[in-house]
Amino acid sequence: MSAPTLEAPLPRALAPHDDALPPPESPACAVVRRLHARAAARWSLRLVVAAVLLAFLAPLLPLPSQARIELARGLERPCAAESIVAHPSALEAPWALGPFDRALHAARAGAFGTLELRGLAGTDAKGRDLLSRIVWGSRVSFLVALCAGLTSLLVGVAWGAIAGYAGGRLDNAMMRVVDALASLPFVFVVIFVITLLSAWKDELARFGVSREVVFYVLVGAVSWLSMARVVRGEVLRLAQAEFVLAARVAGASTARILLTHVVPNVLPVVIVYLTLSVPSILLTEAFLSFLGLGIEPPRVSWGLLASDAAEAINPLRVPWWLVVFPSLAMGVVLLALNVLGDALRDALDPRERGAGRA
Amino acid sequence: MLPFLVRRLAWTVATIFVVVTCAFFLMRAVRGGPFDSERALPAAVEEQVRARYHLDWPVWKQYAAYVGPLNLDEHRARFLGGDGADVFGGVLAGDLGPSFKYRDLTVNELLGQSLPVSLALGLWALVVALGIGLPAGIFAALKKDSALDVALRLGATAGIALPNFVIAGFLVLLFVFAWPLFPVAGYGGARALVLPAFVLGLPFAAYVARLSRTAMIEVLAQDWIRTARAKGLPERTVILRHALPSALLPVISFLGPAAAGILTGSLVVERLFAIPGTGSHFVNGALNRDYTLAMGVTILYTALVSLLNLAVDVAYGWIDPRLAAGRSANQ
Repeated sequence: MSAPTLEAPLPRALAPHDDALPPPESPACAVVRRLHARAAARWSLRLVVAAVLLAFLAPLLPLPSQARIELARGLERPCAAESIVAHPSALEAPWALGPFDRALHAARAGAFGTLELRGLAGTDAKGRDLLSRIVWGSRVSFLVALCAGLTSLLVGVAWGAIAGYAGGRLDNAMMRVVDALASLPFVFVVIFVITLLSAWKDELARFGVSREVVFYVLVGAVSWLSMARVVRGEVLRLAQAEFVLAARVAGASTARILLTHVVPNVLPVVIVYLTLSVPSILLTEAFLSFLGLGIEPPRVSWGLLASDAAEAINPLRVPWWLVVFPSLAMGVVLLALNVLGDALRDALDPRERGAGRA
Repeated sequence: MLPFLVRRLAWTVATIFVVVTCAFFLMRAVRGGPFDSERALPAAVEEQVRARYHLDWPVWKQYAAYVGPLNLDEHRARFLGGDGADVFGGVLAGDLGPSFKYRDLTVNELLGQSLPVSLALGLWALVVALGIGLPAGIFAALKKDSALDVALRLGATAGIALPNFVIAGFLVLLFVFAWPLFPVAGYGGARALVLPAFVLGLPFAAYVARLSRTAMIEVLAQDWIRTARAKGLPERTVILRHALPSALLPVISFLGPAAAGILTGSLVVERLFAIPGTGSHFVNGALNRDYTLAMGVTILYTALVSLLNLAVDVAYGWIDPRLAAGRSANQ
């Protein structure tokens, strides 16, 4: 005898026709399963999560301040001996911390006291600890990626959805703008604008807009174009879909149709493009910081570290660790993000889904 | 074809015009002149300097002089008059004005010195991208799912993911310090260009390899390739004469973005290897607030990239007549 269930038996017409077939899994579950089936994607995901956690919890880690200059210890090789020491200024914050970071920092003081882990990845020319700079640099780099990603998400999705849904002349005009912007060497324009805005530093600061915020927004402005194109294509397809027509017949307003019917169906594509655009945003940040046009000291980012390395290296002295460790950190994270984005795209690809069912 | 070309050309010109206009007014809107940071000049000298750069004119006149619908330069013959006068001045006549920082030079002179260097670097990078990317993609497609294919695919993912200054760092450590084959930096001679061209070209080689591999696999599965094989053609001919031209299409359409990317990448590579190209000038101009120089390079590269995109589109229609037909059907 089977256990009694609370569910009423399904009417015959609604029951699955063939009992041998497993119940269809939800699309989200299918995507996760397909993603999980790939070792490369699994490891990439773990790596990215670990890197983000490390960046997020940086104030909690017993690392020296990344900005603490000790000229006497300039260009020390990576060395594991005597790496755990107490230092009087171990608890200096690398820059003014927000309330959340202050709490983490206080927790660190309680847990580790003035102990610090130093010299594991060597020091740079000014004696600053490289490992600490890499970790704190990842924080800034990820923050840029997050802000710029959100900008690209908001602008790109709104632009694409409106153009695709409105159609006709408005669509044409909006996509022409995207085409024109895409044909520009955008990085040149961004650099030009950053240069000009640096002259307005004081006025912008009065509105609470620092150069870094301008930078975030500009980097985001570079990356929304492909998002807008993809979203428009999807929306064009969806606007003709039967369930959207049904909603319109039922008298739903345009805003309601867009928000409850169209945008949720566009989401998978948006997620894929967001994953794929994060590495390119990280690259743009590194690129601009490398040129001295992005993040400014005393803050640090991966691009700045690469630029430091390029300056420190010369035929007389080859501090290889300055090149190898930041590059390794950046390379591994970027590679993982790319692999993850590709895997996610494959997992969400409807063609593959169709092939899998057949 | 012709209406399409005309329309695209008009669109390109309009884009450049908008860029010039926005850049000009942004530049003028910035508070203070480019000479503020220096020590205070005597009033008379400052007046002279402002007059030399036409900063004493009303903005509309400065704009007209910069863009150049009217030739307002008093050192040349007047508008529509005089002996063999230029009708246009400013950008329309290809004159990007004086540099604000290098006082003795015009932007044109600076670009004249540096552009050949950058173009040489960019062309070699393109050669690297195609020379490595195409064979890699084709071999990977022919030996699909072999160890070679997997290795090449991994390499391509790494090449796309890594920024070029990271690749540059490793290459310099390897081929300059560990095994001294190339000079560390500087410009002069072909040997000095090898490393920069590789650094600049490798990411695009990775893209080209990916594109050509996918296209080649798709083409090789077509019926007409089977027909060609069934006719008894040698495999070489099937691949090179029948499959390759079709597989090249996505690579060709990638050339436009690739050229833009190479120009952008040259900013970093020129700085890394101390190459006196346009990219270094642009970055220095941006850092020194040399607005005319930064603006000149922006305009020049915008024009260059737009024209390249146009050329790629035209070439694409020429190679694949179906597209051209589709385009005229749309009109």
